[in-house]
Amino acid sequence: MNKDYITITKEDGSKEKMEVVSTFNLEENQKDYIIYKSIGTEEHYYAASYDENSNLNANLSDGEKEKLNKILDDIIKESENNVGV
Amino acid sequence: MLEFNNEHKSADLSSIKTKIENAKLQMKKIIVGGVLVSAMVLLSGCSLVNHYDYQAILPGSQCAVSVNKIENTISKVTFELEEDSITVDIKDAFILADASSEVIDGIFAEKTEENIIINQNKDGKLANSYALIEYEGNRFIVEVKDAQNSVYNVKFFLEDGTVIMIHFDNMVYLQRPTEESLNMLKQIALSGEDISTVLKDNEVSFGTDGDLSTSVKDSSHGLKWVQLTLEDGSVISIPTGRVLEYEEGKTL
Repeated sequence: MNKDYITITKEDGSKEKMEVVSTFNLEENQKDYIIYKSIGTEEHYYAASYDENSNLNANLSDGEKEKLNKILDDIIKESENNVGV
Repeated sequence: MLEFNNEHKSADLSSIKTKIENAKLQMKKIIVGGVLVSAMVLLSGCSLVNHYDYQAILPGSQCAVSVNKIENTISKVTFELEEDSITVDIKDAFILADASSEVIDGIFAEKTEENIIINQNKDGKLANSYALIEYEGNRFIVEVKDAQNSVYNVKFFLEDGTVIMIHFDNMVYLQRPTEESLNMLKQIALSGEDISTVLKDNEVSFGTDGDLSTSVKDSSHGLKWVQLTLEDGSVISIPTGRVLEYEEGKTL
């Protein structure tokens, strides 16, 4: 399956290409979220909510962060389990 | 561990926006199904709005996935057919996963000829069972993997390369419930410890219009399999134990 990529615009105006890990909507608050990761030898996973104008907001509540971390854990765990299937 | 970087101000989401919008539109279409909605509400004991943590539509398919990972309760896969919907409820976990195109191609090539293939792992033991399910040209390959401690994976391989992976712990059932069967369904779905007691030596039909029904069968050793009986009389059995059976030449 093809990977999806996005281009992140940073505060200083610079841009960086990232790989999309997952996008989803939490029903409890109707907010859209994206989990993405850097491309390169050292992978960093990021998460943020986004609005209709594609503005990112990484200033999330502790509850949101906890859920997003759990979702990422599940995704990674599943990816590991998939090896050798 | 996730990082939350406030320096990331915006993203060009155009490449994925279409998928996201399509997913939302299709999910609305799926949810409109009256019987299905009623069943979901009654099964969950709460409103639909709060039932799922997130939802996804698999591109190019007629398959909607509703996931509730956080609460660890019931998750669903809904196959929207021409006039009907078939819902698979999964207890515990549901994972979306990818697989390489090489794997997909190999599996499709094999399945087209034989429908059911049993693979062997490195130790020579039976490892995986596959079944090809077709519906109006759409193919779903189902893989049941015998994993450790009796946890099973079911994978739906779609032709565009998407793979739905379902992990289920104790049981999985197909349902198209009537009101009469909802009490039984609630017991099955929500009381894992009571499964063997509730279903022991019992067979329950959830058919509604006589065109589609499920039967849950049990033995003295606990729940063994769930059968989906199709309109033409063919049967798909999804066991909680060992083998997924599929009658050659039948379509879903």
